[in-house]
Amino acid sequence: MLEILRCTVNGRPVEVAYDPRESLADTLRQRLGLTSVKKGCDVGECGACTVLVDGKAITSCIYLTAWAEGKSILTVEGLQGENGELSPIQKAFVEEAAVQCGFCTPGIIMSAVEIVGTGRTYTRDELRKLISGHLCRCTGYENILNALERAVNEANGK
Amino acid sequence: MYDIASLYSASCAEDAISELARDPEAVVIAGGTDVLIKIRAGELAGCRLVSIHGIRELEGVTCRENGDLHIGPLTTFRGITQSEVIRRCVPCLGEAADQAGGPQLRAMGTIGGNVCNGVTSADSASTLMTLDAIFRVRGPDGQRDIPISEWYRGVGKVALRHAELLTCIIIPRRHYEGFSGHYIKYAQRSAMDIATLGVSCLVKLSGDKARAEQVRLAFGVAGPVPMRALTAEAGAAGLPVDEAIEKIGALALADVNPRTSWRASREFRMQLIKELSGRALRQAVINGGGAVKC
Amino acid sequence: MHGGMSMGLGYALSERMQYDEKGRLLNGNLLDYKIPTALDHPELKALFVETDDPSGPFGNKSLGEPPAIPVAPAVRNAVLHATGVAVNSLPMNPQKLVEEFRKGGLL
Repeated sequence: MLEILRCTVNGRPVEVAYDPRESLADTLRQRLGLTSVKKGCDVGECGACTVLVDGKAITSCIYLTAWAEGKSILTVEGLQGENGELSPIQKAFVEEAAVQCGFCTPGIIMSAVEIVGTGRTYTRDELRKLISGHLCRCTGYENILNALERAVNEANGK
Repeated sequence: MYDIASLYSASCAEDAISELARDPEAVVIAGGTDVLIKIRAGELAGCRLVSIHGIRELEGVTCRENGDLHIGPLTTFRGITQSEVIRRCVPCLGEAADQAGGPQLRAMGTIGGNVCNGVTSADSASTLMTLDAIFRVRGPDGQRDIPISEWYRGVGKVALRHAELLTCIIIPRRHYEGFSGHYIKYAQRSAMDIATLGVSCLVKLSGDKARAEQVRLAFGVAGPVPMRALTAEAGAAGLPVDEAIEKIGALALADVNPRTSWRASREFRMQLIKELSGRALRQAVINGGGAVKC
Repeated sequence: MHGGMSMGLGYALSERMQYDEKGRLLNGNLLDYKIPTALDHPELKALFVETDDPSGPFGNKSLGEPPAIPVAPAVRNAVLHATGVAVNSLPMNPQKLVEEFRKGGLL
């Protein structure tokens, strides 16, 4: 039996049928075509499926779609500008060479959106903890941290 | 997709309780970070879920007029860490909650789920044990209060009966006032891991801060359930702080019974217990304003 | 470079596949197979010595495998230098180190 989900996705109101057994990752990917949401492990261990729900970064593979009723969801697809330009955070990732295979990237970028959105600055060690829910095999996190520092500093006018 | 037979979204605690009473096999789901993993692993395949996700009355931390802390079970780990009440009254609990999993998990997982799943490795459990927390549960037959010392019944088993819901975690004022604490989560990774050993220490220092007047020590993963180390507590109580820190680890070995598993050997766990008990007490003393030489 | 160093560190310190007595994999998931998180990494620095290799395009050498190879031996030798204990199996995780340090009389 399908249910109807009514919520906001990337700024737009959405009404979509879903199976109550679906995770939010399933629904975003399969029913809404938002394939920036990656399935790395499907058990909440790798962070690749991270999206923002009401501004909070959560692992959508272990979040039931039913819980998204009435909520506001943000994925990477929602970050681009009107003419398709990359957001400042995305630009920082590109310019700091923080993307190799790119599979962990969308999830980390969504966490970065929450981090930058707090309006605070962070030490590099604090940033390490803030992205400790994301596994990356390619980069050793080094350039990712550089990109995060850059994004946080730019947002704080440094 | 998850292999579940049905999902009932309860509108309030009473609604959840009556649905659970109606269906003796239904499983409660809160943050989902335990239950959904179990479903993936096949342990709860085909279950009927009663979701208490988002029930407002079960969230939040308040300090009552008498100083008792009332913690809503649906408060997330992050909610515990960021709670102004927790920071003021029992900061060590907030710090313990900040060790669970990773940032995303802490935004989803709840403290109620953490104690209701009955696992020995739960990051909030050992600190709640040192605080002698009381679990208020409500079911079709009414409400009852269960002290944490009677909560854990065996591996993955707690005193919660079917159709009962944990509605409040209570920390009485006299259990936390004047105490300072510290939790060490020892794991194989610095994040996204389950404790290989968890040790929580709560200490009340003497007026001149030179002695550990009262010591409470609890472990996760030192046995099938979270446990208090009563021999170590008795042995360390009253000692000058440096002596207490030096001796508590060896004393704790008498209280524990860790097992060898493919994750870690018994010998390794005993080494951790011996070494980390002193370190947890040391930091708890420092947090209480005491000075340590060791 | 960073990626190879990261893989080398995981190999050296935390990653291993574990089997039961029947040969079944016990830790075939991302919780129990310990890939290091951002908190498990030190700062990684890579410095380039610009050479000109006549056998490579534009004088380049390939760089995929080399960074991953020497990390574990380097860490092992650092442990030897710091403690006098030679650990000759991987990963050098805390349980292994406790066992080796006991054998070496340090604990």
